[in-house]
This record gives sequence, C-alpha cells and structure tokens, in this order.
Amino acid sequence: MNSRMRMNVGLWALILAASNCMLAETSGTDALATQADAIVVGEVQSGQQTDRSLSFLLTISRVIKGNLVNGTTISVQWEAAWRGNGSLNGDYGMWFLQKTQIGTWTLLPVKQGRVPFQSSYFALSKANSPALLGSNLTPVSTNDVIAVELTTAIQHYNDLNQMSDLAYGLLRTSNSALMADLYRTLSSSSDRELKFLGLTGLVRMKDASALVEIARNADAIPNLKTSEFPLSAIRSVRDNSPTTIQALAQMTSSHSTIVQGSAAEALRDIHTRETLPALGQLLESSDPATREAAIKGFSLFVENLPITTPQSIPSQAWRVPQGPAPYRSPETDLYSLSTRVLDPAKEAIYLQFW
Amino acid sequence: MTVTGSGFGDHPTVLVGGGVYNPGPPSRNSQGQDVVTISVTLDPSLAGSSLPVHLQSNGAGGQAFFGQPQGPQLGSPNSNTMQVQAKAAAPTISSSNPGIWWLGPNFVPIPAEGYYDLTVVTLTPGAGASPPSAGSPATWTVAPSTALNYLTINCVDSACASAIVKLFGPPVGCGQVQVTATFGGLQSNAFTVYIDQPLSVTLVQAVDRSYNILPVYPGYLSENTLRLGSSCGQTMTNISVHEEFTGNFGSCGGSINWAGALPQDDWFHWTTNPGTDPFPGSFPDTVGFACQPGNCTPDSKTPPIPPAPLSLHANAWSTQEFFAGSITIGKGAPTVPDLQVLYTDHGRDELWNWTCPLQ
Repeated sequence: MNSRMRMNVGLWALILAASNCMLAETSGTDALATQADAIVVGEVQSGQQTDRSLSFLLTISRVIKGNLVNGTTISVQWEAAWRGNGSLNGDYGMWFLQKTQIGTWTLLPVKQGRVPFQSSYFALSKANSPALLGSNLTPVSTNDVIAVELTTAIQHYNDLNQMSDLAYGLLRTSNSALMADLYRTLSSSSDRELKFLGLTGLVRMKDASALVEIARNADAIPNLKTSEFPLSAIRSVRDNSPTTIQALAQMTSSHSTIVQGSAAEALRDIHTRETLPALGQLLESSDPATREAAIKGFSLFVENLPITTPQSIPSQAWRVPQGPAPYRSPETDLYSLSTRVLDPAKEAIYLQFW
Repeated sequence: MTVTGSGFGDHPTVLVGGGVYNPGPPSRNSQGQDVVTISVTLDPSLAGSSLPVHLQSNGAGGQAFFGQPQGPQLGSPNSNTMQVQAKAAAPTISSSNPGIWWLGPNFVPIPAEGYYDLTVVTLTPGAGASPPSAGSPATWTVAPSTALNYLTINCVDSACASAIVKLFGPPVGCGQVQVTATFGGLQSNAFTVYIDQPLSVTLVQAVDRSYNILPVYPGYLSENTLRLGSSCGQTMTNISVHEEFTGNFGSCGGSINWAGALPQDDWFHWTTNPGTDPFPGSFPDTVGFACQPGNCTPDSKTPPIPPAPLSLHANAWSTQEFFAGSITIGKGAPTVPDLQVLYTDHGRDELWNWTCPLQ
C-alpha cells in the first residue's frame, strides 16, 4: 500500500459535480448565437485573403442580433485555417460576428474544424428572405429568427452541399419555440431531402410519430444525399415507448443494411425486454456489424444494464447493473458482448447461443 | 440467521437477545429437518457481544403446542439456547464516479468534458464499527492483481478511509477491476471500477466540395466526419482530440507531385460533438488538395456532381493519428491510426490497413 499520493477528496467531489453541471450546457448554433456579439445577413463587398489573414467589407441586409444597422458596411477580420491568396466578393449569407478587444469585428465560424472561408458562414439565397416569402410564423427570440432564416434558405437551396450545411445548422438550433412548426413544414415537402430533414428534426425533438413516418419510408433513406441526418437520428433514439420500439422494429425489416444497422444501434442501447424480438430478427441480418449489435443488445439486457445514453458514457454508469440480473449465468457471461467486440471467427457459436 | 432442528410446529418464534422474530412456516431440508431463516437487526452497541438464541414452537394445525411425554415430564415448547457472536456489519465502498479512462500519461482532466483517469473510492464503516484511524488504517486491494501493472491505489489520508484509483497505463481493451478494503478484521463489498479508453475513429459521412481557397485551382476540400469510439464500444462525446502525422506521404503508382512534404506543424484539434449534436461524438477532418493544371499527374479535379461517381484513382497517402483527451501535441491517448488518402477528386480517411489500389 503506497500512501505517498494524497489528495483532497472534497476537491474531487467538487470537480465532478461541476462537470455534471457544465455538461448540460447548450452547444451548436445555440451556443454560437449566445457567443456572438452580432448576427447579420449580409454580403461581402470586397476583401482580401493573404496567407491566413482575411479582411473584408460586409454590407448588412438584416440584423438578427446586436446593435448594427441595416444598409451599413462593417470591416471584418479573420484568421483562416486554410492558407490562400486572392480577392473576395459576393459571399452572401448569415454571419456570426464577435467584437474584439480593440473594437473591430471578427468572424465566428459556424462549424468547428479546419473550415475554409466559404464554409465559415451560412450561405443564404438573396432572392428568398423570410419577409419576402411572407412566413406566417412570428419569430420572437434571436434563435427564432435564425431558425426561420435557415429554414427559408433550406427550402430554396442551390446545391446539396449548401443544403447539408444549412440543415446541420438548423438541427443544431434547439432553443427556439418555432422548431416543431418549422420541422413540420419541411416534413410536408415534396422534396425528399427536405421531408426527411423535417422528420429528422422532429425525431430529435422526441416526436415518436415522426419516427413512425421515417420507418414507413425507410427504404428511401439510402438514396438521400443527406442520409446521415436521419440515420444518425435513428441511432440516437433512446425512448423505450411501445410506439418507438415498434418503429425501430419495422426498420429491422428494411431492405437497406444501413437502415437496419442504425435501428440495431438504437435497439442495442435501449435493450429492454420489448426490444428482444427485433434484436432476435437482427441476428439474421446480412450485415456483420448489425448482427454484432444485436448480440450486444441481448448481452446488455441479460446483465440488466441501464439504457445507454451519451450522459452515461464518461462516468461509465451504463456498465453499472440496475439491480439483480436473474437471466445472467456463467454461460451468458461466456457469450456476452457487453464489453467485448466479436471475434469474427467465433461469430457462428455466438449467434447460435443467443 | 438460519435455525435448523425439529418440532418447530408451523408458526414458531425465534428469540435473539431480547428481540422476537416470526419467520413464518418452516421449510424442510433434505434431511427432513425444519428450517427457518430470519433477518436480525441489532443495535450497533451490541457488536462484539454474545447473544442468546432460542426457538419457541407455538403449535401446529391450529392447535397450541402440546409437549410429547419424555419420561415423567412433557416436552418443552422452547428449544435449547445457543450463544451467538454479534459482529459489526461489513463496510461498504462507494464512489461518485465508477468509470475511469486511460487518456495518456500526465492527463489533465477538463471538468467540462467529464472524463477522468482517476476516481476516489470511499469506505463507509458498517453499523457498529468504528471508522478506520491512523492507528488502525484500512488496507485496500485490487483484483486482479495484474491491474497494478497499469493503475495505482493510494490512500488519501493516514486513516486510509478513502483511496485514489489512478491509471498510469492502458489496460488491455475494455477493463474493470474489483476494489476491496479491510479494516478491523472486516472486509468490504467488492466495488467495481470500470475502465475504458479511446480506440479508433470511424468515417460517418463525407461532404466533397470544390477547392475554393484562393487562388482557385481544380481540386477539392473533403470534409470527413469521423466518430470517436472507445474500447468498450461507446461513442466518446465532448472530448478533446488532436491529430498528429507520422512518417511521410506515400505515393500510389503513376502519380506525380501528389505526395508533398508532410506538414510538421499546423496540426489541428477539435472537441468531439456533444450528445445533443446531430452527429454525437464526431468531428470534421477536412482533406484538401488542388494543383495548378499541368503541375500534377493526374491533374486534380473538382468533385463530380452526384449521381456521377467519385474517382477510385488514389494518388498519395499519409498516416494520421488521433489522440483523445488533449489538444496538445504529445499528449492524450492514441487511437488506431488512419490513412489520409488523396484521390483525384476527393480525400478520405481510410482504415489503417488500406493499401494503394492497382491502377
């Protein structure tokens, strides 16, 4: 027993408690909107990139947040992640700006990562503003206005990459009372990309009927350019209501292995008694990863482990049994994948066991 | 406490010290004996003392006890008395954080991210037991003992009522250890500390755009969304990640001027998306390439407009390693490296075992 290392337990308890609070903070477009001193819709009049440094003049069409004035032009500086040299002009969209300590404006990119200038703002359509379209929704908060602007632009996208960027921005906006209405508008679109985007947003808002609708049309998902939005939403479902389980079970019969696989991941992480028939069906999937997810789901059920949520992963609380595990035995332990990956050479005997 | 004997009747009473317990109808064991089991709760002050225990039959079938003649006397409804030693309850171990992560040597936790490479386990004495003291400290053990090859368990104070379990190396895969403490001759429950570590990144989706960095040449910027996974099969949300490149660019047959010098700085870092993001646990790795026409063989191209397929022609590759737990070069825990491949009209993060195709 080594007692050289000593530490204040109270301090650790404090740090852990603090971390739990901070994990609940907002993120994505919501956080960006909070962080920005100004949010505007505007167009680059002129500018220059020299190596990493960008400097440009932005003429403001609409002010969403901050004390800037429509029709005025401001100077913006930014350090880009990608080097380049040349002139800028004509970029039109929604810009998130922050005031520096010396009073100049700098850009807050709308995505993290090594973002090029053209992906650092939301590209909008100049011809289709919410006001011109006579939207019947009444935005009140800053996030309402952002959501309406993004939704309007999405409905008039020029290319699928632009649509994907706007969709990602919209899906990362949650602090708006208008989200459900906006997603419903998109879900009634005849454009399948928009329809599934709307349904994805509703699923993320825990609307089980939207998941049912996705399940009904699941075979269309692989053909979408933005298929990862609904697939990721399916994977993230953790609701164990009968309607949700039934919708996920329906997806296990999809002709698409990627739809099956996404439903398998959700069913694996929910792994309640009610999921077992669907997990059983997935044992016969043609996709090895889907079969492995099904075996893992059975293992987690037998060991009476709680529903796996993102919040339970850092603390690994997902590995702590909820109580007695009457179905657990030395044999189920032998074939458990709760904390192991499947050795492909042994898959047949695992499948036979479960 | 289990009492075994005969002649219990069908609703006996068990007397322990001054307490009366009604265990209900007895069961029969394989020897045909009556068996009753009771749960006895004693005042903690009785720990270490000797208590009398006996059973009283109250009859059977609705009839009061009627003693069988045993010579000149009738049998007694009361059994013989046994003296039983009262022990303090076993201590228990708890922790506010049952799971720890291997996130590289000298890991500095970021409270907002919630990942820790250590946890504090605390002993609570059972009822009737005194807490450990400097003169009589608790001792801690870890099972399996081979876990001491990658973790330490050290007392927080001289009484050793709390200890810190801390990783100094990676376990094999997804791990767990059992921690127990002993003091005053009593052993605690086994408390499980769960151990995980980052394992690999998986490509979730890719968005390929024209290379629009100035000056604009035909080429691409491919945004590969990568998801960070752990050895226990979980998606790691909201954790710092950085990239490092090792070795040199490799060239695929016939390509000229695609394999440039590997950057030795300007490496990027991210925080994986939180659980609320449309892509939880992911981060975007952008691969870009554009070459002035005529300067590279083949010429780089802009990505085709779907449904036109992407080119399968690979030109160069480099080894990229992601480290989780820190944005600082040289820190964090490594994941399985991937290969960043420059195709003619797009860039991709491929698996570690990717090789140049025949072309």
